[in-house]
Formats: sequence, C-alpha cells, structure tokens
Amino acid sequence: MESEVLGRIAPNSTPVQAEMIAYAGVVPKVGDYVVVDSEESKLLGMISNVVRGALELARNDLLQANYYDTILEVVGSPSDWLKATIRMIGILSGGELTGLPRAPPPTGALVRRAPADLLRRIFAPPTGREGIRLGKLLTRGDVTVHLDPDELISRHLAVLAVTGGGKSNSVAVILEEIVRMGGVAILFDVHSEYTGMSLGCPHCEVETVDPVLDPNTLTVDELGSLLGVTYDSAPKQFIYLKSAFKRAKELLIRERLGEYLTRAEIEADRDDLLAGIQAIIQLSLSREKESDDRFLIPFPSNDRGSIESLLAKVDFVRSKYGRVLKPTAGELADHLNYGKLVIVDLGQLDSDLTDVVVGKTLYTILMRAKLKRIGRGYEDFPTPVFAVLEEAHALIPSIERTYTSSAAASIAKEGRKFGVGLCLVSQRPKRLNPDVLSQMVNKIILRVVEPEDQAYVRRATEFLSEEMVSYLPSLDVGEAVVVGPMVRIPALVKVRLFEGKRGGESLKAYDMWREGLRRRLNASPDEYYDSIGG
Amino acid sequence: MKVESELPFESIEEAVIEARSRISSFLFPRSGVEGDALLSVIRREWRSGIGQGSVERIAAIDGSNNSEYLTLGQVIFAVSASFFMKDTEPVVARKYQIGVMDDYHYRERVSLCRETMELKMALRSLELGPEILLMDGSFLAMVDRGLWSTPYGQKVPYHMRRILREVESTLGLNLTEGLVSYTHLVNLMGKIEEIVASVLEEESGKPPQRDEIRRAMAFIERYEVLCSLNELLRRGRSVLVAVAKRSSSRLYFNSRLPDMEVVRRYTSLEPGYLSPKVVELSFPEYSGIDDTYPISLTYVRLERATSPLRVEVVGNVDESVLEELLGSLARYSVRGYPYHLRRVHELAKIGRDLMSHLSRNLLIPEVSGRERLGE
Ligand SMILES: Nc1ncnc2c1ncn2[C@@H]1O[C@H](COP(=O)(O)OP(=O)(O)OP(=O)(O)O)[C@@H](O)[C@H]1O
Ligand SMILES: [Mg+2]
Repeated sequence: MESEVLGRIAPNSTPVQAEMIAYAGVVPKVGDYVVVDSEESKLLGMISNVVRGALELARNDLLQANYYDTILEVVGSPSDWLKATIRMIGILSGGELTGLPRAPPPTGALVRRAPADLLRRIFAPPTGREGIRLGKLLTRGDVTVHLDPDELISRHLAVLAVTGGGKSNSVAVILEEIVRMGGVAILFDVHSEYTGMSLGCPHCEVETVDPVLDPNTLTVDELGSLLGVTYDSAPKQFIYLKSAFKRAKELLIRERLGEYLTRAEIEADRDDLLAGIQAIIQLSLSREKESDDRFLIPFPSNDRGSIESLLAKVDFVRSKYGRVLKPTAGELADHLNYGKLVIVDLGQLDSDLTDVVVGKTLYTILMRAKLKRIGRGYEDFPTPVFAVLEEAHALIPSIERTYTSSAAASIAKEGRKFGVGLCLVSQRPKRLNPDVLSQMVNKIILRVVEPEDQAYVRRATEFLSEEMVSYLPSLDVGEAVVVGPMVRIPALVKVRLFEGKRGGESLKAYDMWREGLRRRLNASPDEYYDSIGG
Repeated sequence: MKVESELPFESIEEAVIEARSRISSFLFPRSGVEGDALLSVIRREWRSGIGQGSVERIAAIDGSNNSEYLTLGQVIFAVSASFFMKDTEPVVARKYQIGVMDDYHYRERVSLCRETMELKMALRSLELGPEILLMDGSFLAMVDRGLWSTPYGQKVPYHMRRILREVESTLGLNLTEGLVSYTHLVNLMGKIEEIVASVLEEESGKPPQRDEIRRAMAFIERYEVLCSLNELLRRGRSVLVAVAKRSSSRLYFNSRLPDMEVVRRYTSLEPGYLSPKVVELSFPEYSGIDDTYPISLTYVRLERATSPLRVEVVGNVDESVLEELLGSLARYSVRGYPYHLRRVHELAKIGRDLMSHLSRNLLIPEVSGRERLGE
C-alpha cells in the first residue's frame, strides 16, 4: 500500500523531532521513512525509535510472568500501544526535498509511511550520472540506494564496524562500482584480504602490486622515519644522515656511487642510494685522518658512537627490507589508471614500513594531482583517485602522529580541490585520529558494539541520534547506517553482497576440516605420508 | 523552666511516649481477652488452602465517579459503569453519564449515581448468563449507608412515598430500567422537579423552598439505588458476588478491630478463607421494600502473602459451593485480586486528568477559562 497510515503526531513535537502514536495494529519500524502532513507542506522523517507497551500489563507489581499468564488468559490479547520517535529530515515540496522544517508539525497530524516511489526518487543516482549501487533500504526491499560518486570523492568516507561486520564487503561493492564507471582506485590491503580479487565487468582491471619503495625517491625525512632517526629523537644522527644523504645523491648523479660501494665492499646495485649512504658512513668511520675525499664526512671523535649506531640502523633496515627497497622501482602511484583498481598487498610488512609506504604513496598521489590541477606537469596522471585504507586505526592512530596520518590529514584538507578522495576502514573507531575521522563526512556505519566506539562515532557524525546509536549493536552483518552528502538523506541500508570474487571472507572452519579429513581418509597411506613429508 | 502552673506545658515527645503504649495495645490486642477470643474463633473457622475452581464464565462490574466545581454552586460530574466477561472471547461494555448538578450534597449524590449505574449494568448483563457476576464493594453497605442514609436521615417524611408514586405513575417510569440514573437525565429532570414541587405545595400549602425540592430529588436518587439493588438481588441471586479490598465492617467477629484487620493479623500468609457466616440483608423501612435476602459473608486470601478480601455471596451457600467459587476466583487472581475486577476497574476509571480535560474541552465553551472556579 503506497500511503499506509501509521499514526498521528503526539504533543510536544519540535522542528527536529516528534513522537507519533500509532494506530492499533500498526507496528512502525526503526529506520523507516514517514511523511507527516504539516500545515502547508509535507515533512519527511525517519523513525529513530519505537516504544511498545500493553495497557493491561502496565503495572509495576506484576513481577512474575505467571501474572501475565493469568491476565492474558482472561483478556485474550492485550491492547498494545506503540509510540515512535521521528527525526525530521526535510520538507517535501513537489516530491523534492528542501531544507529542515522551522516549525514543529501540528499535534494530531497524520503520519504515513513514505511511498516507495518517493524514496526511489530520493535514492536514485544523481540526474544525468550513474550512481554507486550500494544496496537496498533495510526497511524497504524495493528501494535501491545509490551513492553520488562526486560527493563520495570530495567529502571522503569512513567505513566503521566491528570485525566481521561487513566493512570489506562494503568497500568491495563501492570499488567495483567506481571502477566500472572508469574510476581510479587504490586500496592499501594491510591483511592481504583482497588478494585475488576480481571485478565483474569487462573493462575493469585489478592489479595487485607488491609494495616496493624506491629509496632513491625518498626524501631525507621519509628516510629518517624509516630508520627511526628523526631530528627530534636523535638530532646528531639525523644531521649525519642528512650529510650522508646529500653526498650519496651527488655521487649518484655523477654515476660514481658504484666506486664507493666497491670500496666499502657492499654488494648492491650501482644506483642504490641507501646502500650508498651506508657505504659513505662506513668509509667515513674508517678513513685515514688526512684523507681529502670530500664525499666522506669529517667528524669529531666524540661523535663516533652516534655515527656507529646510525650505521647499524642503516644496515639493519637494508637487510630487513631488502625485498621491498628496490632502487628504480618507481612509485606505486605509477600503476594508477582509469577503470582500474590497484591493490597494494601490505600483508608482509611491519607497521613502520607500512606507514612509510602508505604515507609516501598518499603524498605522491596528492602532489601529482595538485601539479596536474595547476598545470605544472603530470598531465597524464589519472584523477580523481579514490584511496582506501584498511585498518586505518593502526595507520592513523589517535595517540601518535605517523607519516600516514600527516598524509591523510593533508588529503582530508586539500583532496577535495585536487581530486583525491580518502576512505578509512576501521573496527576500532575510537583509536582513530578524531581530526581526520571527522573530515570523513560520509559514513557507512555497520554493526558497532563497544559503547566507547559508539559514543565516538556519534560525536563524529552529525545526524546520528542517541537512539540510532543504541540500535547499532543490533545491526546484522552488512546492515548499515549511511550518512553524509553522498546520500541525500540518512539511510539504514542492507549493503548488497559483493558479486565478484574477493579474498578474506570469513573462514568456513567446519567445511575446511571436513574436507581435509575426507582427503586424509581417502588418500592411500603412501600419498598421505608423502603429503606430510614423511 | 516554668514554675508550677495550673496549665500544663507538654512536650510532644512526652505526649507521644505516653500515648504509644495505649495506642499499640489498642491496635494490637494480641493478648488479653479480646485477642485470645479472636484467635480461637479464627482457629475454628479458618480453612487453609483453596481448591481449584472450574467456573469459566466469570463477569465483573465496576464503576467510577469524579466531580469538579464548575461555578461557585455547581459541579460537573462524570460517572461510569463498565462490564467485562471472559467468554470464548472477552466481552466488554461501558456507559458514561456526564452532567452538571447543584453542589447540594453532591459527593453523596454522585456516588449514588455510580451505584445506580453499576446495578443497572449488572441487571442488563444478566442476560449474557454469567456464572459468577463480581461486583466491587458490598451489598450490605449499599443498603446501610450509615449516617448519610438519605437526605432526611432515617426519618423520611411520609409525603415522599406519594412523590415516588406520582413520579412513577405520571411519567410511566420504572426506576430500575435503563443504564443511567433518571433524575440526572436533562429531559426528565425538569418534569420530575415539577411533580416534586406540586406535591410539596399541596402538602404544606405554600410554594416549596428550592432546597426542599433538591432534598426530595436527592431522596429519589437514593431510592433509585435501593430499588435497582432489590431488582438485581431478586433476579440475579445465585451468581452475585461482591468483593471488597478495603472494609471497616465488624460484622463477622464483632470485635473492636475491623474484620479485615483480624484476618490480616491472625491468619497465616497461606491462601485460605473463613467458613461463611450468613447474615440477612433487609431494606430500610423508609424504602418500603419488604424483601430480604440471605448473604453469605466470608474473608478470603486468594494468593499467598496478599491482602485478604471481603466477599459477600448472595444466598445461603454451603462451604463446598463457596470453595468452588473462591477457587475459580483464585485461579484468575493477580496479586490476590480477581483479575476481572481489576480489568473493569481500569475500564471504568475516571481520573483527575479526564475531569479537567472534560471541563476544559468538552463543556459549553462559554463556561471556560476565568469563569471556572479557582482560576
Ligand atoms: N552485505 C552483506 N550481505 C551478506 N553477507 C555479508 C555482507 N557483508 C559481509 N557479509 C559476510 O560477512 C563476512 C564478513 O564480512 P567482511 O569481511 O566484509 O567483514 P569486515 O568488517 O571487513 O571484517 P574484518 O574486520 O575482519 O575485516 C563475509 O564473509 C561476508 O560473507
Ligand atoms: Mg575486512
């Protein structure tokens, strides 16, 4: 029924919120949309809470259910009453949504369920464009919700939920839609959750790349944070690092770095800057007093200890990250293209390196987008870019400043102008840097259980009412509160299941064990012992 | 300190201490002749435990009334009577009577109106064939209203008989019919007043005072209760049961303590009841009603650790019949009170809120705002 009557407005309504008394037999549902007949216009609202009672059972001395039995036996079914809280969303005029009402709806005003075609219009893709098909309204299986890609990019996105709440699935759905449109996306996959992901459209390309870091492209500061040597924490070491860096750079340009590597007996590529730095420090420590090699660093003898520990750090990082540090590997941003998703598989890296890889890539993307925009090069750099960070609370924590968090803060601030959209995915919202989170104006909030997380999400989110927050723990997997300019009005959405292939779905322990056991029992003893290497 | 004086100057503490022992022996005569005598009566008459009853068609009736000053000399009143019966489906009925009356003994008259409506509702519902019809209160108390028995006390002038006869015959009225009180019906009130005035004038030879007319009207209201009750007892007999939660009656034990207090204090917390005591219900002489009815009176605790109830069953019922009846009530009792009665109570209830809503919103618009008293 299109204009199903639900109830009437009770006294004490405000322009923001009203209570509705329901007609007998009507059970309003949280998250459903309603239309309130106001004086001149109609108001659109959302049911944010429903309270129910029964007249016959409304006594506080009935402290054993046996009394309920007796009463129900006598009266048959109790006279239910229902009271719903309605949050006002906007004024409807001619099927169009305009600003928030300035006056409360009249007491006694009729409240109807919002007709499906109205909602379809509201959640349709923006006119003349395609939308991101996210899913269906939770309370209306017949209304599809689309997100506006322009708003998504320019106002960023946070996807928040407990683990297993359906964050990665939501991200996969959005990425698929973006790439299908021709969008440019990069996903930092901290737990190798998306490796082997494929999208279901002919022109969609997915490239999984190993994180490589070209040391030659690093700045001294980036290098410093990789080594754990910053001006603040170890000023002496940082100064020597800077000298060594400058000298190694010059040698690289003069194509003389190989010479020093040989002298220091370091096996490395002739243009490996970090190896060159190591060589210079090492040779400086062991040089003869009278040496006039200007590429070695002179130092007073009491600085020897500092320089030795700097050398140890460089050596350690080189051997530890050898696989990742690839001179002349280029930038991850080089892989970006239209209609393509780049997945950076960070699963093998530790957090320090992850921080540098992600932070550096974000800075690079922002810088290139900026230069392109102001016409100073990078004309071919594909923009706008949508960058997704899984485990954002680890990369952008609230307690310390990381390289990635500075990069993210810059994008949050400037990305809008240059076409870089950020998407933060986290299961511990309260550990996420609040300044950055609050700039993610669009939000997809799935199941959130922890009260502190709830409170945090509420503070960072405009429309979210107390009642809606209390409703978050009871959301099922894939059910989400969606707010922000990417939807025209806040919505409770059942996110659709990503149709393509994605790694990282929940393990099916039982099936895997059964299958393993079946294979073990079917295998001949020889094969079995072969397979376990016996 | 005051020096010796003729007049005392007590402190409240002294007075309390002095009074305390007297008060407690008055309230708790656990020992002494009275206490011991009561205990032995209880031991003899109290039946521990109540069996399972099997009566299903239990109905209940209750009413409610409320009133509020509208002008300096007039009140608005609202009275209701409601009915509930558990059949295969629950059956409910409710009737309101709302009006305005002079503030002449208005509290008594409003409760008379309620009694009339409850009795008439009961009369009409007999057709539905309930096996038990529960009423809130006491039949005995209805005939014996204590001090305010009639506006004339017990000495009702002889000419009232004539007035009643003329009202009934001139208007062709049977006061036990319908669902509301006739004297408050707007279209009848004027006619009845005319009859009253003309009889009074004939009796005394001069035009009656306004108060005289009002007094006679109030008597008719009282009479309406009595004849409706008589009609109900006559027709309803075996199914009628009155249940009271509160009562100061001393009819059973004839003790200084009210019966209910005796049962509350001297019986265990377990369910049980007193063997019925049969008393006779007769109507006051001024009513001219000669019929009498036996009433079986008992006190019962329907559920463990709940307050006892006073129960009147119309007729001379033996103990097995009584136990079956009480067992059926216990089966549908919630916190020691028959749920059917609770239900009708809730249906009938006329609260303060409803009253002010009525007088503010539903009455003649001219009588509003400042014209109402106290605003
Ligand atoms: N919209 C949905 N409809 C149906 N099932 C879903 C939906 N979203 C997620 N699921 C199921 O729930 C499981 C977990 O989802 P997902 O991996 O997206 O959770 P997550 O929040 O990313 O978890 P984690 O924090 O562990 O990364 C998946 O296996 C998927 O099958
Ligand atoms: Mg995930």
